[in-house]
Amino acid sequence: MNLNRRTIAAFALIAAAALALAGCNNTFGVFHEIQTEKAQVGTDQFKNTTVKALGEDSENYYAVMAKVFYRAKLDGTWTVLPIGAAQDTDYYCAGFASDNSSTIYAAVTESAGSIALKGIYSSSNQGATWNSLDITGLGSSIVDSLFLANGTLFVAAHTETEAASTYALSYWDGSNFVSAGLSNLNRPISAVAYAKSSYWAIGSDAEDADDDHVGRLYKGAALGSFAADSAASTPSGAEVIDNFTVNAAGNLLVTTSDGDLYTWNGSDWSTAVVDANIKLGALVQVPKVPSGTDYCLIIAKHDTTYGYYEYESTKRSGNATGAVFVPTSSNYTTAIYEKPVQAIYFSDDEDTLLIAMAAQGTDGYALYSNTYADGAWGGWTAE
Amino acid sequence: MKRTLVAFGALLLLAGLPLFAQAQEDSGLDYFGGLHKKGGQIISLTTGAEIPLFILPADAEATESTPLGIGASFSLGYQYFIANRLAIGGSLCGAFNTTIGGRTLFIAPVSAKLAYWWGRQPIEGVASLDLGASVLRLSGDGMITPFAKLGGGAFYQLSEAWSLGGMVYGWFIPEIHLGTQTDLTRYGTFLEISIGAVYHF
Repeated sequence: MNLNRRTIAAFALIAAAALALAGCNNTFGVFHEIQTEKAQVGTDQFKNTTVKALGEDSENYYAVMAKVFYRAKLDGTWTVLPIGAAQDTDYYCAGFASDNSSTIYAAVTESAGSIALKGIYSSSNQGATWNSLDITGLGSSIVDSLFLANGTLFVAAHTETEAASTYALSYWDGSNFVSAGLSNLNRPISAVAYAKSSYWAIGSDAEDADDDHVGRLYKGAALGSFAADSAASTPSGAEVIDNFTVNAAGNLLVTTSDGDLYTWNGSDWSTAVVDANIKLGALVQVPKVPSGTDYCLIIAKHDTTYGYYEYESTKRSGNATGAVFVPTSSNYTTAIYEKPVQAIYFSDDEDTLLIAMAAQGTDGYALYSNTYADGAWGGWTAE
Repeated sequence: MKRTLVAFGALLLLAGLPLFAQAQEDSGLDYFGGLHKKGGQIISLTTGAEIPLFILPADAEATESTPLGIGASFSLGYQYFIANRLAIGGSLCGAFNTTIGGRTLFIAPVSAKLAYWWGRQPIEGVASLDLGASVLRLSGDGMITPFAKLGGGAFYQLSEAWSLGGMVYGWFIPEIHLGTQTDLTRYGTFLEISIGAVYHF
């Protein structure tokens, strides 16, 4: 085929125009984004680090890193929480849980590299005094996490041998830690919840370390009787399960690694695709106007970036036009979207959202809050 | 305020360049060894500071008066003298500015250039106008926009071929959005203050 210069020039022009159009996002205002950016000055402890869990009691918010930090809900400053009878601040927090109203729990070791458990403690007065729980029931196992569901404290722990580690879930029966019926697992339990008169736990399974994980959703009608869920259409065994929450209707909402949202309404599982083949994570249901009944889910995600989706019947990016929780697109983009979300917490008392992230290498903060006031969400502000 | 003073000073300097040229021409002395004659060519390399001036129109949601920091710029250019002292050519530029939210604005203009050169050994001056298009990128999103750059500089001849000097340019970047997104249309202005090397051949 012979191409004359004019034809080649036309092709070149078309290619250049296509490239130009591909490089444009008409809905993204570069200078508008810059104009609406806001300086974020947070607490130094949260810069370039990871906050892995959040909690609340009647007076304080709690943020968990290697240590537990707390601040008074009203204008407090973040401070290391002393734990134990000795009010020790030299510890590593292996697990933290709160009932979001009166009691907090903490499992602490000597250091991040130490498996020796100092103790598991509870406090009902914001850490002023601590009650040490009897940990003999855990034997020599190594505590990985604490969870609280339906007022019961659960401990996920593992034991190490040269051959392999095995994982188990125990619960506090009021005087001892006893087995929840999940032991000798080859993967850890990552979350526990209570919904529709059953306890639920997230785990996974694989023949050995090189195999792909298969998600396991364990269900127990009573404490101590967890077993893999086998209801029709359950995500258990069919999906990699990432996280779950309980919504205002008491339903269990489960996110998966291929972008699905499963709902257990007490009798059936249903499925919605939030974003096909996109890994989802922690989620929370938040009233768009606090105390209202019009809810929106905030769901952590990992596509080409991180951050979260707002999800009602369809998903939208956290900075999309119509996004509920940010006043400007740039607020979400500068605070959230580059960072993997670890936990999201809504404080009904204070009409405040807290979001915990992994911020290493971002030169940004790992903890932000967002408060509803004067009829609008104020946007994400570094804690 | 400091930024405004710098901009004002630079513009004064720029405004003075043609007067300087006029003064030189009036002296009737020979100009720069014929380097600015028809058929001559120039390759230039520059690097310097990129100072954001203002973005218009103002945004009602804005809370910060200076959301962009001073950044860096660089350019590579080529010019061909189509007449004595008058050259046409093009340039590739790049500039980075960090935002108050910790992001980086990347501007990459590609432009055609019209330049007027004058001088008397060992000093030469140039005033030029660039027109072209620019890539704007922020957080992985962006636009391709029109681009204009106006300014000039003065150079000291180090050898027969090489000169070294400083330049001041104003950048004008209209970010045009169409259809339902016209409310995102903004006009950005920057001041480039740079040093550069010029190679004559």
